[in-house]
Amino acid sequence: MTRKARSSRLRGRAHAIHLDDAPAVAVDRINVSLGGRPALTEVTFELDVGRQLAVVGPNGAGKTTLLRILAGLLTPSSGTVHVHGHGPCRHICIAYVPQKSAIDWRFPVTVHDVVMMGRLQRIGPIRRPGAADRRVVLDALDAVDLTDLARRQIEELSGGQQQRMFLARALAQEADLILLDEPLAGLDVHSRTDVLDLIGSLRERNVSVIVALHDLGIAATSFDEVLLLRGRMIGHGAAHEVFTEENLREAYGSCLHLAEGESGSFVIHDTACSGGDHGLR
Amino acid sequence: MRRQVLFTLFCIGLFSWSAVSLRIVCTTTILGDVVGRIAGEENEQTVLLPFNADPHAFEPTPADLVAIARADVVFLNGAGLEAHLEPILKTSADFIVRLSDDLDLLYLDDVHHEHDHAEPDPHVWFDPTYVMRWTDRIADTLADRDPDHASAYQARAAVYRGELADLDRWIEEQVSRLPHEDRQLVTDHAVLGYFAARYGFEQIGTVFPGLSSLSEPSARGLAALEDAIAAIDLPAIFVGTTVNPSLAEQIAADTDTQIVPLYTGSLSEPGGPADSYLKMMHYDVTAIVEGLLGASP
Amino acid sequence: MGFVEWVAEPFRYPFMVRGLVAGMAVGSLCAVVGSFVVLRGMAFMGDAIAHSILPGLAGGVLTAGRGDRRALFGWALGTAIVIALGMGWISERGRVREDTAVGIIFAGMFALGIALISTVRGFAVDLVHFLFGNVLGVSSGDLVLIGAFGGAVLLLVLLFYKELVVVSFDPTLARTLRLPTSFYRYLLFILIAVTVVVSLQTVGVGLMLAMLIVPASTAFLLTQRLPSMMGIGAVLGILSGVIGLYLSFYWSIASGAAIVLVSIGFFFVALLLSPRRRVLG
Repeated sequence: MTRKARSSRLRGRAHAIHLDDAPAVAVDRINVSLGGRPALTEVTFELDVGRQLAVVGPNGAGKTTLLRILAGLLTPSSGTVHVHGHGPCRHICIAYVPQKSAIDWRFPVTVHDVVMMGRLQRIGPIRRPGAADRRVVLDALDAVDLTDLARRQIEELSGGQQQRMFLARALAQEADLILLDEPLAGLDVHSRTDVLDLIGSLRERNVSVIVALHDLGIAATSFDEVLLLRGRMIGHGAAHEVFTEENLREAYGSCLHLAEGESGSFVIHDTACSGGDHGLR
Repeated sequence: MRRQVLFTLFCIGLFSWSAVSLRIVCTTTILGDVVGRIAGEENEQTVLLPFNADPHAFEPTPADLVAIARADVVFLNGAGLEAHLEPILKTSADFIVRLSDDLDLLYLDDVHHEHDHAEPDPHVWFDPTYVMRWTDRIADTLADRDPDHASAYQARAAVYRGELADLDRWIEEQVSRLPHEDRQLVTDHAVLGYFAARYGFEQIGTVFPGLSSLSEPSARGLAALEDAIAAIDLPAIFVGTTVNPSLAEQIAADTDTQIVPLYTGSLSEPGGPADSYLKMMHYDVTAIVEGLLGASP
Repeated sequence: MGFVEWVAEPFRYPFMVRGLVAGMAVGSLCAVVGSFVVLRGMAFMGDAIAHSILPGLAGGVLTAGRGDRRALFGWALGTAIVIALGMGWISERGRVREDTAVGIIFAGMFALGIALISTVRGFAVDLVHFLFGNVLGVSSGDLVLIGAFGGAVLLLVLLFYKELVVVSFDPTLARTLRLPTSFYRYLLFILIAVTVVVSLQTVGVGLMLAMLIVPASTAFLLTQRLPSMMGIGAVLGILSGVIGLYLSFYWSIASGAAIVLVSIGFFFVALLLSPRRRVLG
């Protein structure tokens, strides 16, 4: 199922026409400094439409920075970024869920209200949400299985429910590129599975997904491609090609060991060593 | 050598300083005028409040505090008018004279508050006989502080007392033009107590309750005031120049009454119709009498 | 006195009728705008703006004299709008928090006003009282003013409701959706500033501060959705005004204080009855 190239002048803002043969994401040698220190150096990669990429690396590797650049919230000092053939700022179809949401959970809005916010630019200023918009929101809530909680105030949600709500918002936004920063952080195993299943189900919609993760195992098993990052790109491609012992050592210092087991290789994270910690971002 | 030069300069300075006459500070412009009539031109006089400032809400600047600190004598109205300035004055001033303090003060008959902390009415200057008593005290104080010129002060005081007596007589004449039943006063706040007591008027109500322009009215108070005004068909409401007139204006509009401005807490600017105490009283009394006679057709 | 007479008695006095209308208008306007103020954690903004307009008032008095209230109002309104833009600009890039920006403007402008006044000793220090109104002293002209400006503010809130909410609730989403975030932030600040000045001129500073904060805060305890928070807040503002004025009429309590105390009474009742589980922080 392919999406038609979007060409509408939407009521809110002119939406860039997706170029037919452009990859979902094309990043070419971007460099960014934060606080005077280089955060990303010469990062280059492409992601095809409909694919799902996991970005991994130690703390301070620049995962969040990369996502923010793709979301159009940060501009690299050099290099180019293209989403569907255009700079991110020309799109309203990019959804970004930050790691620590700065929203006030006590704000008097329900789950339904938050998901409807995703449709803001589709509705445009001055107009009210219409029947079509409400239908999209209900479908999105159904897709993430939050229909029962639609009228709840958001403070009452669990961590997993919160993530699903943001995913529903991305769906309501009709996003073609969804960026998630550590969506599984702080979730119990059950919630993590739910969220991962949901992310997986996005394949049916031909939506491209980029997720920043800590867990190498999940990155390897649940995603089409991985990108190993530590300020600069260490590797990009299939997990078994990227997660070599050499690459892992380069990324994490000497704290990760690749071990061979019966069912395949697995990664041991040695927490007793100090490693190259750039500090939290 | 340098030390001797400095010492000589110091002595010259001391001498010339002591040759300057008294440094006098007064709070209100009214006080300033009265004191000035007695103290004469050669003394250095400072008035703290600017023209049209509300004495109830005045806050001194550092320049004011310097003047107070350097002053030989500070004259206050007293009777609570400068109550909120007391702490500052006590620390800065050497010699304070509260002119109204040992006079017969009126107390506001306030039905809402207990009389334990009954506050005196400070607006004594509306009765010229009180200002005569001020004159005595001012002259005595100045004579005391500056004995060289004592006779000059007493002489000027005598002249001024005469003018105040003339004023008192003139007011009696003017007021006699009003029949007794028309001698009813409504003002923005209770300023005319002493005037009413001396010349046979009745303060039947005020827009702002109590003695200060900073108090807040209640709807019942305003309703009662409007009823009282309507009941006697009062022709005029008197509003001081130092307060926000908008509330009084609404009352006047509702009761079809005229607003007549008075100089109550401050003289006018120099060149204005009330730039001395005597002129202020002439202006105000004329306005009151004309207003209550229903000067407008 | 019969009940009907008891209710109707105050209406014999035109100042009561005008006061009731003004109280209701201010109560409802401030509740709607105050919802944003409360939710953005800027409860002191009303006080800050009331003080920050001092230089404007000084300018007005210097040029137009103290008697011309319309001119003073114009100066105050103009200054308030400039202040609003200043607050928005200082906190623009997110480097300075909004509440800090408000505090800085407050301190600076108030000091500037005092400085201006103190250099020209011709007029009173308490000149702000010449602008501040009293709910019992509302003129017909004041009612027109609050109707016109209040109506304009409410209309703009209605038209741009969802944009103002998203900008307040989730600025990251607003940026991702390519909303002109700055425009809406400035707009919100201006709406608050206009509300403050118009209310100030109509009912005075104490009552304005209370009406801006208390009914909205009370409504926050009672509802989970923003539209009903605004609606309930408006109702509470109106009720406080009406009940307060009746108290002032029959029990001689100062009118402004009576209205404020009624609104606080509502707040504490709501605090005790609040369905929200978490009452403190």
